[in-house]
Amino acid sequence: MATTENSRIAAAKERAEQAKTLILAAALVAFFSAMAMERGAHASSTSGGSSPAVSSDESDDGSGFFDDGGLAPAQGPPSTSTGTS
Amino acid sequence: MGCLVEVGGASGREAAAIERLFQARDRQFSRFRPKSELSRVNRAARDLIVVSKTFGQMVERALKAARATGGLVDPTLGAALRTAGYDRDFRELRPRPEPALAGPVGRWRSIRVTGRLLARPVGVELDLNGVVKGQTVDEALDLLSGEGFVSAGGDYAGRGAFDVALPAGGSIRVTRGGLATSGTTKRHWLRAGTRQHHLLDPRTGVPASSPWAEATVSAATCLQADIAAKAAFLLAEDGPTWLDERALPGRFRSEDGTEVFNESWRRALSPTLAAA
Repeated sequence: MATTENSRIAAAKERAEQAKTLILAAALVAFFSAMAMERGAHASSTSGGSSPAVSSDESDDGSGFFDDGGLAPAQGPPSTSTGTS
Repeated sequence: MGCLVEVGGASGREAAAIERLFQARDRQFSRFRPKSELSRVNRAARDLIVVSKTFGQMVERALKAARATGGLVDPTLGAALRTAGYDRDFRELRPRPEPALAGPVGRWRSIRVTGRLLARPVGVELDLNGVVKGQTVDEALDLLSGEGFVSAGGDYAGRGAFDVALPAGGSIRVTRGGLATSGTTKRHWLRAGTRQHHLLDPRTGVPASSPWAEATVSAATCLQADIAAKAAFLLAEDGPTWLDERALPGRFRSEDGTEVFNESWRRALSPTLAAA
């Protein structure tokens, strides 16, 4: 009985290990594919002699990054300051 | 980080925790500490590097900031800053006779990060200061249990309403989020008699030309405000409109002291306009 239980646990552990290996392999393939694509893109962009910081397909209007804060007229002496950083 | 940190509304324990946070970030991300993680990454002679979780997250933020600004706020200008002459702590910079050199242009698209795995071409030097300070201010604010504020070198984040003095006069009430100023009035130096500054144009690898001495921006967080202020400064005459397109209030001051406010700033300060 105990032997059957142990073998089932061992099999489950093996399946979990295989799944982890598969996930890791997939992540590495995706990572290096992205690297290779970027290198290709960089090579083609630099071969033209210019490297614009903005391209139409990668520019972003910032809508997913920026949100507004809250401002109002000052009502008293300042507690702190903002200065050039 | 080479700047004064001001904290309001903190208990003694909270203030100490904030001080430790800033010290830790300086040790990890300083370009001028040979043993910092940033220096180790920049020296690495291989493309693929395992970094700490915090480092990986900071690179992710930097890449998001680059994407959101069309590459204007670029984390790969470490070498360009060095060749411009910013090669040591700012307080130690002195005028030098040799001319500054143009550095490599920005290559933020060559960086990949997945968790703790960082890939960057050998020789590309990261400078994460564009995100580290703002992010650290935001995280420091989270250490306060009640209302208060944190301001590092003028990058501000607050919980509650506080009046904040603006560069060259005036003040404003920040009721929510962050406020940051970027410009060239403080961090500049001379190379062969020519003025250099730390706000580089990633398209050229040299200090940017801008009609503004500084740009002040309000946003939901200090990190966002800081990134937007840098981008708005680098965009020169287009800065005010770029901020308006993102509903971010901006105040610009030129070298001769002329002030320009974008539409979002004017609306925020005018109850009549805000209600319209």
